[in-house]
Amino acid sequence: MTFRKQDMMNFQLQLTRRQGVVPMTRDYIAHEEARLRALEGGAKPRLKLAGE
Amino acid sequence: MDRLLRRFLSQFIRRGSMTVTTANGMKFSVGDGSGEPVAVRFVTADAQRRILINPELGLGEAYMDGEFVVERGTIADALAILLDQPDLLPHWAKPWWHLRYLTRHLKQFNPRTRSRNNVAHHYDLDGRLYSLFLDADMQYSCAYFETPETTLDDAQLAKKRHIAAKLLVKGGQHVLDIGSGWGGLGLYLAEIAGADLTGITLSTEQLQVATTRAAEKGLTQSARFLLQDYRDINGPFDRIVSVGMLEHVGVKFYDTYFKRCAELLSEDGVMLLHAIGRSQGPDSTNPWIAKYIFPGGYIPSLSEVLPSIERAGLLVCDVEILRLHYAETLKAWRERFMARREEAVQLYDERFALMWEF
Repeated sequence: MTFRKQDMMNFQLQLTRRQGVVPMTRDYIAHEEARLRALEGGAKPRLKLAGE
Repeated sequence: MDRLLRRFLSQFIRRGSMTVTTANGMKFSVGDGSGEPVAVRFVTADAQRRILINPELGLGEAYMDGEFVVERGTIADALAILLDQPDLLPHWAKPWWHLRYLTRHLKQFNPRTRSRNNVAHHYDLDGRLYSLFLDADMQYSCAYFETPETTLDDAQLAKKRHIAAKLLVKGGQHVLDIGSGWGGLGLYLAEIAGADLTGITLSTEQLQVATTRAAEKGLTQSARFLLQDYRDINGPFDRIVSVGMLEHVGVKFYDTYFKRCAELLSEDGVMLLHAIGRSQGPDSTNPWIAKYIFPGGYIPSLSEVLPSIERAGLLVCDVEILRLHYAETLKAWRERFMARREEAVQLYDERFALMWEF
């Protein structure tokens, strides 16, 4: 309730010790998510091999 | 006392529509008559007294004890009205607020032993209780709803994916999860992102669950969970992630926390911190929450967190605010809890179920 009415929120801070570690634009987030999503599919139901 | 109660409540509640019945049977309405009507009743005069003396603590306690009941609508509807008033707090609650604000550092003084006890108070509860309302992976933090139709389970998976993406984890990297909970995020990082994971928690119950899950998934080589304080772990780590843990650190310990993170993080490392925040500046913890749910806990504003990050020599590379995602998460948790409330009563008791409902 406090999130809708009293300005509670959830924050995510990305921290590093030096510049140049994280890419210049935020596009990598979507790219990484797409890559991970594909891996998730592979991790759970084992791919059935032909003839199984 | 009935008249005093009526006067105070009508001064505070100016929006919505609420009918109040006192213990003596006196009935009155407060608010402007807008919205869905809610009816509440005080069962005992003592409950009325407690709410007049210290409303923020008294209401939750009276509800848990069954001395304040909601006869039309739900407790969530009643709270929605109480939290939607022009004044954030009833005027008679303000002295308590000032007192709490002044003493908040004492309440949030969380050295090792106290941290451990505070954690045990909440997280060493029977794991089955949490499985009543959490998703299958036991994610006990804000989910990430990619669409309004996303289910809780999918939104929690999306949250883990979103965090892993921002962490830029590469296979074989050493990753530290501070406050690893029941292990869901750590196992995702080990299994999907190929990390070499160390998860630390102060809850023995959570540690046991996380370790068992790692074994079941055949990840004991790449995911280790330890019962350890963030102040005592040795680095370095390529990546550090901490989800829903800062809330337990305490304002006075933010310098210690971020300095330790900076020491543990390798030169090219990335840290991702995920926590609940408040948008209106420093405050103090609601007394009912502090007593029954999260002793030692506090939800900080960014203005309290960022100075410690700067002093620790860490660079802020990205800030994202998940605004209504937590509201959606809590709504899902509440619905799931209410659907299986009977089981919670079986596990603990009625007072406990009412406490969680509240």
